[in-house]
Parts: sequence; C-alpha cells; structure tokens
Amino acid sequence: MKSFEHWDQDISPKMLGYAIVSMTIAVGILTLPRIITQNTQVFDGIISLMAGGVIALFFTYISAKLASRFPKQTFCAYAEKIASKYIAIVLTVVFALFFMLVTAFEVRMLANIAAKYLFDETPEEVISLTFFLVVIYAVSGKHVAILRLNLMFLPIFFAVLFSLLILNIQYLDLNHFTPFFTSSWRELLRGTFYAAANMIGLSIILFYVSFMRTPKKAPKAALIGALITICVNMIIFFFVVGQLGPVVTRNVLYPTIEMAKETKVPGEFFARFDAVFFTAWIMAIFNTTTMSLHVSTLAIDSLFKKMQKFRTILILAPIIFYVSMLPIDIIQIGLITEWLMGIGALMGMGVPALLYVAAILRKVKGNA
Amino acid sequence: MHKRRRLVLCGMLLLFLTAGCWDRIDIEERGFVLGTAIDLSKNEEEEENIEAESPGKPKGKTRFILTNQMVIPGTIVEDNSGETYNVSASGDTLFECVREMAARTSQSPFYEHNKILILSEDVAKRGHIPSLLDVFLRDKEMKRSIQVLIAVGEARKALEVKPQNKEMPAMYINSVVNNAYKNLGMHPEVLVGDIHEYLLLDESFTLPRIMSDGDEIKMTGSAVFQGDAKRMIGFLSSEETEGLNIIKNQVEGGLFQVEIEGDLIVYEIKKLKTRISADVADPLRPKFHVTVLAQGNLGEKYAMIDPFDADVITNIEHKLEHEIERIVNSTTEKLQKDFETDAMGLGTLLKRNHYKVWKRLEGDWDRGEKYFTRCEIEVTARVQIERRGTIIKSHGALGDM
Repeated sequence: MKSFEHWDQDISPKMLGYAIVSMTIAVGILTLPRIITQNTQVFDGIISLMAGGVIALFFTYISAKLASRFPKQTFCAYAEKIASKYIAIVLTVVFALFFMLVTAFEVRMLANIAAKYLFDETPEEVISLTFFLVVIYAVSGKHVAILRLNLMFLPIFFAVLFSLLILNIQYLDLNHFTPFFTSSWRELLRGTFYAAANMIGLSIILFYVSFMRTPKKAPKAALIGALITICVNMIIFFFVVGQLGPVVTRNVLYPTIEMAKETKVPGEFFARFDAVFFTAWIMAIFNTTTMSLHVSTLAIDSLFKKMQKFRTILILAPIIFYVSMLPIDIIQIGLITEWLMGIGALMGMGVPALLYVAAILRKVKGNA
Repeated sequence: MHKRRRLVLCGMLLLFLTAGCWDRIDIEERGFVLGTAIDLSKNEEEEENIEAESPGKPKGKTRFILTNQMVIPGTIVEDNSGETYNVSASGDTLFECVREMAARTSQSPFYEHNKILILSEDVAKRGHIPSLLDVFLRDKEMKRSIQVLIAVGEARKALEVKPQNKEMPAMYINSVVNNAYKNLGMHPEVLVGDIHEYLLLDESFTLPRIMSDGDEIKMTGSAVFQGDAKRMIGFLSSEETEGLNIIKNQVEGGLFQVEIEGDLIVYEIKKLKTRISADVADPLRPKFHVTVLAQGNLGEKYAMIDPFDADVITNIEHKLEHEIERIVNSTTEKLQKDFETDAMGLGTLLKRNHYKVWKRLEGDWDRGEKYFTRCEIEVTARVQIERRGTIIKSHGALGDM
C-alpha cells in the first residue's frame, strides 16, 4: 500500500490548468456582468469581455513562459537572477501582501454575500471566521492537496453552473441584445480594463510552475485554463443580460444570483435552485481563497529560508482576518475591489512582462 | 490518556458550536405569504390615533393598507387547495405595515413563496408603484417572479375570492393567467422583475387587470402606465387588450367572431404573428406598418354557408382581416388619442432598429412634444383558414336539402 509520504509532490500540467480556472472564478462571476454593463451599452460588453480576454491570455502566456524558463526555482530566486536581489525581495513582498489582501477580500465577500442572501441574523464575523478556519486547515497540509481539491471541486461547480444556465434558456429574451454597437470607444476600453482586471488571480502561475516536473508544458496548460474562465465569463454575461436585460443587470448588486433565484426546475418538485448554486459557488470561492493564502505563504517562505510553513500561516492568518473585517460596508469593499484590480493588473501583467523582456535581453536562463 | 481527554473536550465544545444557528426559525412559526394586496388607507380616525400616540413621527405622503394572504400550515393538500386567512395592516410604508402585522399574527410573515401582488387602481393612479415596488426588489426574501395585477376598486377584495374547487385564492389567481392561450383579451403575466426594467428604462407599459365581485374574479383587460409620470393612465377594455396583444405579438390563442350573411362565424386562432416595420423617412413622424398573419380553424358556424366553397372561405377571410384591423385600430386610437401613451412598444422598436432616429425622439416620444400621438400606424391583416371541422353542415334550412 502506498503511504501518504510517497504521494507525487509534483504538479501536472492539468493541475496547473485547473488551478488557474479555480483561481480566476471567484466573486467576479457574480459581479462582472454588472460591472461590464455599468461601463458599456446594452450587449456591447461582450466585445469588452473578448478584448479583455485576449489581453489576459497574452499575459498568461508571458507569465507561464517566464516561470517555465526557470524550472524548479521560486519566484524570488529567478527574479533575483533577472534583476537584482533587492528588486526580487521587494517584488516578492508585494506579491505576498497582494495575495494576503486577495484572501482577506474573498473571505469578506463570501461573508457579505452569504449574510445578505442566506443568514439574516448571523454576524459576518462569524461566517467569515468559520470559513477562514477551514481555509487555514486546507493550506496547512501539503501543497499538492490544495491542487487536488481543485480537481474535485471545479467539475462540481461547472456541473451546477451549466445546469443553472440550461434551466435558464427559457427566460432568454433576444430583445435584450439589441441595439448593437452603441457604446463609445472610451466605454468599451473601460469595460475591457475591468474584463482583464477581473483575472487578477493569474499571477499564481509565477509561483506554481516551480512545482512542475515538466515546466515546458506550463504555457499551454495555463492558456487553456485562462481561456476556460474567459469563456465562462462570456457565457454568464450572455445569460444574465439575456434574462434580466442590460439596465436591470446594471442596477442589481449580484446579477448572477438574481438570475439563479428565479430559476424554476421543471416539475416544481424543487423550488430553490439558488441554494444549490450557492453551495457550488462557495466551493469555488473556497478554492480561490485557499490558493491565494497558499501563494502568500509561499512568497514569504521563499524570503526566509528557515521559516516553517505552519508558523507563517499562524502569523498571516490573524492579520488577514483583521484586514478582512476593516471595511464597514459594501461601499468600502467596492473601493478595495477597485484597488485590487489595479494592483492585480500591475502585478499580474506588468511585472511578468517586464521580467520576461529583461530575461530575454540579458539572456538569463534557468540552468545557466 | 491525557491526549484522549483533550479530544473529548474538543468534541464537546464542537457539539455546542456546530449546533448553534442564529437564523433558525421553525417551520410552524413561519407564516407563508401567498399573495399580497395594497390599497390606500382612507381612515381619518386612525390617523388621529397615530397623531395621539406618536406626535413627532415623520409622515409619509399617504397611508397604505397591506393585506397578506397566509396559508394555514397543515391544511395544504394536493392541487393547491388549503385554508388561508387574510391579515391587513396599515402604515406609511410597507415595512411599517409588516411591523404592524407582527403585532396581530402569531406567525412572522415569510415572503419567499409569494406569488402575486395586487395593487388597487387608486394606488396605481396616484403614482405609488415605483416606491411600493422598491421593497419587492430590494428585500432578499422577495422574488423577482411575483406576478403583478391591477385591481378595479379595492385590491384586497380580489384576495377574498372563493374558488369553487377550494383552491387557495392566491394560487387560483396565479393559475388563471395561464389561460391566456384561450382568451385573447387577457394580458399575459407581468412580473415584478419586468416592471423593474420598465421603470429603469422610463418605458410605458401595461399590466393585467383583475376584476372581482365577491366570489369570482375576471382577468381580462389591462392597465396602462405612462413611462414618464410612472403612473396609471387608465384601463384598456378586454377588446382593446386584444388589439394590444396582437400588436405586441403576444397572442397565444383565442378567437375572432365575424358576421356573415346575418349570422356568426367563430374563428379559432392557432397561430398569430405580428411584424412591425418602421419607415423613418421623416424622423419626426415615423410611419409604422403592422402586418398581422393569422392561421386558424373554423370553430363554430351559425351562418348558413358552405365552408367547403372556396369563394365563401375567401369571403370569411376578408371579413376576418377587417375585424383584426378594426380591433388593432381601436387600440392604437385609444393609446394615441386618449392616453397619449406608447404602451405598444413602438418606441422600443425604434430604439432597436433605428437607434439614431430614436436618439432624436427619445425625450419627446410619449412625453414632451408627444411625437407618438402624431405618428401613422397602418395595419394590414392576412388570415388563413386551415381546417374547417369534421362536418359540412350541422343543420339544414328549409328547401336546402
């Protein structure tokens, strides 16, 4: 019998793809249709989503190329080779802080949405603490375990999501899609920014490729993963706008949930499909939160050689929880979202692109 | 041993923690609301009472009476029958009504299974719909799929209907609308979510009308709302609603009757499609061509004619075409001249197909300059009779054997 000690600790290309999909499917699938319709007219948002998707794909490719150039090396190590030691340390710290903030944001968002739709009386603090404790438990184990969890949860989430969409085909109103092309260029660009920035989780590539035995296969797997999320976002956008209409989508906080709330299962033996959708969505956001906490511990561990992982988690967790409880209401959370998108775009797109160009110009390679 | 004791302790702690739930409400304590009616309160004595009880309280523009129909749990059997009771309470806002209600019933009202919302004519005419619907959209317990109806007279009277088959009144009303495929004069269902869209777009719209007289209800006709003022302008009669349904291409079935040789012929609609095209040569005075295509059967025949004679059939078809044109014209006339409200969605049609023209007309369509009232609407109908039934004649006239 194989004991747990002998588990394969390497990440396969498939796992990397799953990780990227799980990471990028998060709060955005509930809010993105609103954010996009707020910035564009009628159904033109689909153009923004497509353009934003292409941009995200481009930087996914660059990130994966960069990371696979240095097999089995942490981000801190190869950043040092390309640039200098100080820049490497600064970038790693910023990444660690960024992913801590993402963790805090996801925890709070989950609590906020769950409190709004599911629990009237339960305080947000309690919901987020319960959730966060499970996240900490998951991160405390082996890193492969987290990635294996993705393999299990993501298909469940997709099964629920697609049955929701299929049940909603009957409510689609084609009149909601016209008139076409009424947005200005500026509106489309703003939409494109939000569509691209929604993929803030992409920079996990920089950290996870180092666990791969065959880093050469990383770019392809990463591209497929990112493409899946982009397609899912576009399909959800199509369904939400088709059912609720562009103006209503613009004025509803979580349009995807509103869509799920009205879903009727044929036969009427089961009235509340939104409960199932919620469960599946919490699984998806659990994966996102777990991975972002994990990546921030990875980043910090790569700075301090003697640090034990569990001790890092114990230090980070209270800080993250404190930060997650700082915003008073949804307006402040929204402000943080904007910040996260900005920093995420910079860290997930700007940094890898600069490093990659520098690596090529200075001809730095992993095994040199 | 030490380790074990610690485990047991942890386990006991978990028992306490995991069994707790802030949001638990026993199902017996939930008052399932099936239908809601809102009326205006006209009780002056009550207002004096409030003045005495809480003098400094901010007052709303009007007081409403909220009536909830609640089901008695345990009496529900199959086929939607069960015992219900209605509770009414008044307040300046709906939340106040609900709070007032909590002082009168043992069960706290639970709205997640609410099916219908009936608003009285007065509420609608005074323009309270946007503010009243707010809570139906804002509250997470409310579904966007609640069906909205406008009652002639008092709204709560409709919830007091006593259906013959012992169905719960709200469920009964909710299912009557499903008969729209049999009656052309019934307005299709409109949901709270749909109205949210109309209100956001400032579009004029129509809602189904409900009339009640004690034991029975009737759901033909519709109420017209002006999109700018967001209040009800008036009712369309059953026949005018037929015209509206034809124009909006939402006919699921129904019949037309025409007179031929002094007696009636019934035409049963199987399929009716309407296409509207706009001619925007003169942007300020768009022309609309409404083309109606009907397919159907000869359902009942009183007139002494031979339905298998091609000339006779052509004659009937022509009569039917005139009849459809007459019905549609009466509706457009009423909406253009009397109500001056575009509840037919012609503006939306312009917006979808002639966006640039629409941008010019937008602020002055059925408001401001009211270009809508001056535009030309041309109706052409084309009728086909497909099946003529299984017999040639049901009875003979003298000397006609």
